[in-house]
Amino acid sequence: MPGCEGMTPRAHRLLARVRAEAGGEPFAFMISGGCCGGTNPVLCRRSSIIEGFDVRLGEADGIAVYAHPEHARYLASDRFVIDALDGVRSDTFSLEIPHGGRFVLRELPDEGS
Amino acid sequence: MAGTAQSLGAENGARRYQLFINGRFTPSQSGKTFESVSPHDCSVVAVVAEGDKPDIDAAVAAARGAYEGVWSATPPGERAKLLLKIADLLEANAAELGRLETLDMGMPVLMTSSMGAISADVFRYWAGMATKLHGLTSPPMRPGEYLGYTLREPVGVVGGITPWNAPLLMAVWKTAPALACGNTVVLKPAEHTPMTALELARLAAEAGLPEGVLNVVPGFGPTAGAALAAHPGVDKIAFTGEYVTGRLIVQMSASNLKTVTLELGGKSPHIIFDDVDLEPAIATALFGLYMNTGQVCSAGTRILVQDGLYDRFVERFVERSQQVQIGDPMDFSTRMGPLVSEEQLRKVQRYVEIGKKEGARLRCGGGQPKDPALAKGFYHEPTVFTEVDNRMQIAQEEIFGPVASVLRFRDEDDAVRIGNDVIYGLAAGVQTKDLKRAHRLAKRLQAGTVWINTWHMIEPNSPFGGYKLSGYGRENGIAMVEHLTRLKQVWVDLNDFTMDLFA
Repeated sequence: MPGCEGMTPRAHRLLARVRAEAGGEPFAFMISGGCCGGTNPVLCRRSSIIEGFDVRLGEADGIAVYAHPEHARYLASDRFVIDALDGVRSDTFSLEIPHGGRFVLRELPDEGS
Repeated sequence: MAGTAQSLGAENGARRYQLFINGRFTPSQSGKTFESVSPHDCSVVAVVAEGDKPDIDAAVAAARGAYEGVWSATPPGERAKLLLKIADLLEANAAELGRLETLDMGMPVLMTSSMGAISADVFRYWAGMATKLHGLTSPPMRPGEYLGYTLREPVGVVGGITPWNAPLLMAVWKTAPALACGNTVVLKPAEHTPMTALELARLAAEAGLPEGVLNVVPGFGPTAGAALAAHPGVDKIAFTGEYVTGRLIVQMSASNLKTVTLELGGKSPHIIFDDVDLEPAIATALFGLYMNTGQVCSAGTRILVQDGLYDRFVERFVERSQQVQIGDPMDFSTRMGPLVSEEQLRKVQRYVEIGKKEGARLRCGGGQPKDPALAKGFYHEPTVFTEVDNRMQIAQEEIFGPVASVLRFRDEDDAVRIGNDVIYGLAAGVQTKDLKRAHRLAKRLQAGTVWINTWHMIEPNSPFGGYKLSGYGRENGIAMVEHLTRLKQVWVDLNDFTMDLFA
């Protein structure tokens, strides 16, 4: 199934910085949409996911990736990984922001291309 | 006023800003700072104190103290006078505020130079409202003499969390109505663009706004923003931003059941019928899309053109898009500046790739401009995709950049079906000469604002907000009073006898 197929090494390094501070707290990624910080992953606590409503779109480094069901309809046909930009901030409540980077989506090429 | 924020007339070079809490500029408790960079050339324009939970706690305590003390004792007429003074100062400092805004976020100075006056209008509208807030009397429904009346009271401490796309105006939208209704405010401006919100605080203090009534704490979303959203001492949060953060704020608000209003994203349909005159229709479509480099939640990004006009429209729209004057936003001849950040540029670039992959036809733009003078900035060319299907990601997701998705429609029903087939509902627009059709569509389109033969009309007296995933609640206009006040019912017994049920 398409969707999130993992995470780049740079994203992994950023995640390690978040985990070092947060300890063993379970996380999730929610793909956001709209306005200033939209259509990028928001790293949040696992407890923020609404079970039975949010749609799972794969995982990255053991962290499940979710989206709103209507949003997931479009994202499900997409193949992407979670990447990171260093030294970049964002408007969102995504938990990596104080750690000097920002998770972003990166397209994977279509299979066979 | 104590403090060390530089004045508006400070020399060029990076400014230093502190938090504004309880009437004075103050360093963050952690001592940490962050840099705000110019999207034009990545130069550092400001070094800003980074607020965190302890600073939010201090700001909320200051706001609570001011609410229960000086601000509750300030009569509406005096509140109105203070708001009018703030308006005058915003107008008097409009040129410099515009310059700071352009340095911070890249909106062309041609537009930002009017933001002081636009912000002053918002304060003046709400200054008028401060003296017109009142309850109603209600006769009892049962027999007997009773006097019933409502008191309209402020909610208390209002938290505002604002985006970077129009920093001063967004700070003003969150602040002026709350103050007019008798609340005190803690504002967390977007981390990309903290300068003008802090200047607003400085000007408000200069106008005589008492200590603690307006506090501004720049910082990051998951630290300062989340601390504000979860704070038990905050009675209401007004947020503008994206869907997931809006949802996290709603979850955090459950702590003390604070009320929340959300103004989130949009993917607004701009429906153009084949009876329009081509040139004005193009001009409105360009304005609706490229204003602020497309970084407007209510931008007309899905351009729906009727079959009979489609080819002529596309040819001219592409031609005009290629002529947009893109450049240094500090130059008054520039009409389109850079995107605000590298994150934003990357997002736009990703959607251009998705659009190509989905089979839409890229008709112009799609990359960064070749001008070497713009090479260091987050610039992106005006970009037009045609033959877009509404099921494509570039038709469904908000790109927040200068990217048009041009779609075809057959007739009125088709336009409504496509227009409403999106998760958002912030704005929509119709261009036609057929008056009846225009009003029929205004009723059928699922959006908080419908523009007919115009775009971006947003006034202090008109409610602005969304349907669907564009959020709930309204900003601007008298509707907003309901979010910023609460009603108390009072009953008075006027009968000469007393009912004694337990006699």
